[in-house]
Amino acid sequence: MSFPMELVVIDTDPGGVRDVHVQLSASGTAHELHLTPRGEGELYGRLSLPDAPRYLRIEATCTTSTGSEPCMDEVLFMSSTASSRLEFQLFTHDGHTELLSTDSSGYPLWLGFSWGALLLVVGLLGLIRARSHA
Amino acid sequence: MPEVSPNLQSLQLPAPLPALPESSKDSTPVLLGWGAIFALLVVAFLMLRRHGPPDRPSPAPRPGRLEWGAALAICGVLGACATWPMATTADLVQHNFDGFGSTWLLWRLAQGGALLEAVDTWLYLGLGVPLTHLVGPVRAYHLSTLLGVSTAALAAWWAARVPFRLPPLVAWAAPLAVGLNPLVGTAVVEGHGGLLVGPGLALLLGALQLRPGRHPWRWATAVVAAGVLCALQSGYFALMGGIVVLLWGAWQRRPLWRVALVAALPTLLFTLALWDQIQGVGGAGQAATFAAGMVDLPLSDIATLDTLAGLPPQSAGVLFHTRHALIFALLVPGVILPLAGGDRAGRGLALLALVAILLALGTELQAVCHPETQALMPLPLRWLIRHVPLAGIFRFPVRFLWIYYTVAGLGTARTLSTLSLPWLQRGLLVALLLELLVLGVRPWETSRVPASVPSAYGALQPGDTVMDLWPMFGPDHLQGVQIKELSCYYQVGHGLDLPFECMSVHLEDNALLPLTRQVMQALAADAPMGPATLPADALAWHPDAFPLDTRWAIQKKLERWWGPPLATSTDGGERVLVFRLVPR
Repeated sequence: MSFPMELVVIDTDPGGVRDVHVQLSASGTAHELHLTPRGEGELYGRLSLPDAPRYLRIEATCTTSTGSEPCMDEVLFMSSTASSRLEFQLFTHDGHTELLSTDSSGYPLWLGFSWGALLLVVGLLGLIRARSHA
Repeated sequence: MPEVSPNLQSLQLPAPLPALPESSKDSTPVLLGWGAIFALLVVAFLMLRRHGPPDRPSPAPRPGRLEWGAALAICGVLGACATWPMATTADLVQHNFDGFGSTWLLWRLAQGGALLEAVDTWLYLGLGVPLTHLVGPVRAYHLSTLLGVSTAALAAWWAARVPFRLPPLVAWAAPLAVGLNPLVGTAVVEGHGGLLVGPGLALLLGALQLRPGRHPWRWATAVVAAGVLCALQSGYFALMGGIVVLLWGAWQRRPLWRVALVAALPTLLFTLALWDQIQGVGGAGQAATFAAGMVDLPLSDIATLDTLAGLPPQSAGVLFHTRHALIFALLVPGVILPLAGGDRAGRGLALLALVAILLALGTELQAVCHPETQALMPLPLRWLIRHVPLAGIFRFPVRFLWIYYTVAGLGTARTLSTLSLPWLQRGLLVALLLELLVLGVRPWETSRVPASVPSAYGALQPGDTVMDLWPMFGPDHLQGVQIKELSCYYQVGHGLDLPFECMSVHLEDNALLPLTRQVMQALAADAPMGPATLPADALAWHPDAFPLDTRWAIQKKLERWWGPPLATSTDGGERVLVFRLVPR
C-alpha cells in the first residue's frame, strides 16, 4: 500500500526562495525532494512512500538569491493514514529563512459565524410568520 | 561510510517552532462579524419580549416501544457518525497522543493492577476493560467511545421526550446537540475517550425536570443516581453536575429544592475521594482528568472570546474543533428565545446555558489572539476557584460548554415545539444537523495513526525490560510527551516491561528523560553502557527520528557495544532496531 504525500510551501515573499530541497526520512528509508514553484508564491512537490509513516524527520535547505541555508529541521508526528498534505510557510527571521509547518485543515474563518447568522435569519423569519398565522 | 562521532547537540530533538507572526492572526473582521450578530440578537430579544411569550403546545404523549427502538437505532448511527471512522477502521483514531494513553490505560487495567485509584474516568474503564478482553485494546477504545456518544445522545433524547414532554420530531434537537457538538469532535480527535462515556448530564437534567409529585424521595433518588453517573464519568462532570443541581434547584423554587442539594452530595463525595490528586501529588491517570498542575489554570488553555468566536486557539490541537463551536447556532433558539418568551423552565435552561458560557471563558476575559494575551477583566471562574478550590480541576474551562450544549439542545427543542409550521421545524432541524456535522464534529477530518506495533520487539522474551531510544528532549517539549506516549502505546503490543512510568503525566518526573540523557551522553563520549548502568535488558532504537548524518555513527557504536541488532523491523510506521544488553 503506497502512501502519497504532498508538500506545499507558501512563500510570503513570492520569488524570494527559488528552491527548497527536502530530505525526509520515513520507515527506514531516506527520500529527497525538490519543491519547485507552482503558481504565485507557492512551491510544491510530491512523493509516494511505501507505507504510512508514524513520523517524519524533515531536514530542508532553502535557496535564495544570496545562497543556500538550512531552513528546517523538524520531527513531524503524522496523524493520518490515507494520504497526507503537509503545508509550510516561509518566513525570514533575523536574516535567516525558516520553514514553519502550519495547520492546513479547517474552514475559512467567516464560516464560523455565517452559519449562525443564517440560522438566526431563518429562525426569526419563521417565528414572525408563525406569529402572524396565529 | 566514515564513522563520525555524533555530538550531543545533534542528538536532541529540534527546538519547538516559534509561533506564527501576528499578522496572520488578525482578529478584527471576525470579531466585528460576531459583534454584528450579537447586535441582531439583542434586537430580536427586545422585539420578542415586547410581543409576549409564544404559545406553548400541550405536553406530548410518552414514547412507545416503536419510538424507543427507533431512538436506539438513530442514536447508534449518530454515535458512529460522531466518532467516524472508529466503527470500521483498524487504525487508531487520534491526532496527537492522548489516544495512545487512553488505549494503554485499558490494556494496563485489563492486565490487572491497582491503578483505579489514579483515574477518575470510571464509566469508561468499566465499559472498556471488559471489551478489551473481548476485542483487544484498540477496538475496545473505539467501541467504548462510540457507545459513550450514543448513550449520551439517547439520554438527551429521553430527557427531551419524557421529562420535558416535547413532541417526537423536535425532541431530536437535544441528542443532535449532545452527540454532534464540537466538544465531542475535539475529544474524538484528541483521543479523550474517557470524557465521552457517560449519559449523566442529560439524565441529570431530565431527572431534575421530573415532577416530585407525591413521591419526592423517588424523585430525589433519580437525581442522586444521575449525579452519581456524572461523578463516575469524570471529575469535570462531577463538578458540572453539582452546578446544574444547585442552579436548577434554586431556580425552580420547588418545595424540595433542598433535596436537590442533598442530591449533590454523591457528586461531592466522589470528587473529594480524589482530593489528593486534585492537590497535584502522586501519579495521575493518562485518561484521567485529574493531574498534577491542573489547578494551575492561568497557564493552561482556556476558551477566550477569540476561540469562541472562531479564531485559531493559542495552543493548536486542544481546541481546534472548538474554534468553530458555533455557539450561536444553538444560542438563538436555545437560549435567547426561551429567555425572551419562554416559561420558567425555558428561562432556567437559558440561565444554565449562559452560566456555562461565562464559566467556559475562563478566569479572565481575553480577546486578543496572540501568545501574550491581554487580560481584560476577571471572570466568575476566578471567584469560584478562590472560594471553591474544587473548581480548580477545570484545567480546560471550555469543557463547561458540555452543560451549554446539553441545555441549549433541550432549549432548542422547546423553542422548535412552539413553531406552528411543520416545514419550519423540519428545516431548522436539518440546518442544525448540517451545521453540527459540518462545523461541529467534522468526522471526515478525524485523523488516524497506524495501530500496529513494530515487529522487532517480538524478538524479546516476556519479562524483559526494554528501553526506547529517541532523540533527547526537554521536560516541556511537546514532542517529548509524544515520544513517551508512543513508547507506552507500543507496550500494548509487545507486553514487555518499561524502565519508566506510563501513568505519570509530567515529563520532569519521568525516568525516561534522565535515561535518555544518560544514553545520549554515553554515545557522545563513546562510553559503552551495560546492564549495570542501564536498567534494561534491551534497547529499541528509533533511527528515523535522528538526523540523517548521525544515524550511521550511532548504529556503529551500538553494534560495537552490544553486537548486531537482535531484530530489525520497518513495519508499524517506522524503522526499529532492537539490541540486547544482556546475553541470554
